Amino acid sequence: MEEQKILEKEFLNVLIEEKNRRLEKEKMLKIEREKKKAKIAFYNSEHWKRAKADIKVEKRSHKDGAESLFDWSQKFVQAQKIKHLLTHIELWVEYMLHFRPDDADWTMVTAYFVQLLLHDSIPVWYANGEKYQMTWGDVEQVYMPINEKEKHWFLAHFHIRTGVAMFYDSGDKHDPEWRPCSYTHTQITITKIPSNFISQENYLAMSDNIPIEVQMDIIGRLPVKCVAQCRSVCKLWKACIDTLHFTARFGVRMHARSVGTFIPYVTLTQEYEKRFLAFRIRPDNLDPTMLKISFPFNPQGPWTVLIFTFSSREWRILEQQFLLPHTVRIKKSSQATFGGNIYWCGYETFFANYGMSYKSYAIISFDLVRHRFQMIDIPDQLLRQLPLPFKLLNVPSPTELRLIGFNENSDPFIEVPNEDGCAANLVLYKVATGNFQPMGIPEGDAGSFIINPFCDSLLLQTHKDKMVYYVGGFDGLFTMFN
Amino acid sequence: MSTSSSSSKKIVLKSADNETFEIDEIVALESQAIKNMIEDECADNVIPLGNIDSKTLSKIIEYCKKHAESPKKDDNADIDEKAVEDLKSFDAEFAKVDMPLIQDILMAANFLNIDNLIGLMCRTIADRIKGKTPEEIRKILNINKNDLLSPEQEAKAREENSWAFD
Repeated sequence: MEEQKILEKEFLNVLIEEKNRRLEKEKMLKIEREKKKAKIAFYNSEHWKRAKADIKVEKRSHKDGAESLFDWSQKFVQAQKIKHLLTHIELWVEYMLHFRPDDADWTMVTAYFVQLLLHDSIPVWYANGEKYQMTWGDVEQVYMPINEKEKHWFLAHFHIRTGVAMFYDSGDKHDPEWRPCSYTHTQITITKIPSNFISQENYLAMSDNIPIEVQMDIIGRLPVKCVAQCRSVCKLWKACIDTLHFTARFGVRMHARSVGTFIPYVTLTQEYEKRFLAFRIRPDNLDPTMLKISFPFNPQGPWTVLIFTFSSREWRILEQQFLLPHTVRIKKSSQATFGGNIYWCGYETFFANYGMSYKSYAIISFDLVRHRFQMIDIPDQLLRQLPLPFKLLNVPSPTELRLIGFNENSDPFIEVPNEDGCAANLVLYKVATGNFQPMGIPEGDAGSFIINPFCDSLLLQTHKDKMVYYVGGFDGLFTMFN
Repeated sequence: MSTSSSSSKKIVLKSADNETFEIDEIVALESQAIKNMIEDECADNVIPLGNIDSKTLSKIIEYCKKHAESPKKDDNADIDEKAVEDLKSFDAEFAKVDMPLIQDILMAANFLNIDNLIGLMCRTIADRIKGKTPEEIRKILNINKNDLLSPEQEAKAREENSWAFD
């Protein structure tokens, strides 16, 4: 019995091995098939057709008026295999010329060059800068594709000053040989070229072929930082990315772009207990919108809400009927924006029977399109499940620090007070390295730095009421500004 | 669901290099452009696609076939999750081709108006240029050299970007 089990097991193992081998083989075959398919595709591509059109010259005229056939004439071109190779080489040369850096010390000639030489012609236009931009006087080396008649292509590398010609062949290895040369002795070395050196991966499609709106569709899928990079790829991309249309379509705001406008100052006749500004760019028409919300001292008095849009350039009072109940208050530091809304944490103070007061919280939103407030109750379930993040941090400092918030790496933003304790700087403490990194924000009043999850920013440069307002910054970083 | 039944109507597509492809109508309907042609009854004979070569066209047909055979979302609310996964892995495999072919497919998909395929190709290109420098992007996509920014413009663009990101 035992023996039989072992035999069975062995048999199974063999089966599995066999299966794996078969799968491996199938995989290899598939890869081969793919390669073949890719090759066929290449020969059917636009490039190939363009190249084919370029090589239709079949005859050349001699000075005496006689005509002779070139080597790639009728018969030559019809040899299917060689035709492909010819195109291949032609394209490769085109490609190399295309990507040749301006300061390169080498140049290329096309396959045509050697054919002309063989016909006792001296095609100087390759060298004198007439047809190709590089004169041979400026370079050290020249690459020349050569066809060993009806056999295969190889590449010659000609060093102008020394007269040494190297031949690169993807096929067999040959022994070096020396031949007399009118200029100097020419060393002929045959070296093996890596097979991918002349391969179809080198041919790239022109992105010009793809409609610009599709190109923008691609860019719109990138993270904002990459979009910013794309602005310097080419003029067309930059022009397209820097349009409001792109911003509107993909919701990507380039942070370098800012809108400035004069905002008239308004005074309120009413005495107020608390007032603040809110700001958001309307996502549908990109109109920057500001709110100035004031609460009166008297809890029975109504709110005052003023709206300023950059398109209208004037303040408008929001009608009483659209305001929330008088007793509702907003925590201004809770402001967040998302979509077409500004959100705050709002509360209402109630008095219990026995004289104690308590607060009831709700989310308050302001719809930038409809210009309406709304009160959204926080579901009890959510209130119960609010996460309480705890973090143990040890920041070495002789003075008392104030924690402002965290960046995406959980490194803390810290307010570091100056010696006199009145002013402070905002720094980022890198937990990993133990370094303090200044945020580059000018010194502010101690206790004045806050962080909010905000992505639009508003910069009020002067304001007649001498009040201090928020300044938005990148990544939700905030400071005050006079 | 009626997928590729033998009785279904056939559509013949002709590539730029005169190769013809006979496909089921349901496969052809993946292309909004062909769908419109069929609806307008101008697709009786062969549909010539003068700007799409046979290699690209066969790739596109491969894609449309797979997607036409997969259950559609609106057919059944709770479709087989396996089918979704299957389609996802097919898409991933499908996109594993070199950049020139991706661009050819994108161009053709745009012409034929195949939304999913445009999306897939755009995502693929986006993934390949993500995190690359402008110079690398130019190389990958073979951006027209005549359209480059002047050194001053490029420096300005970089300055504007560094403002926001460094």
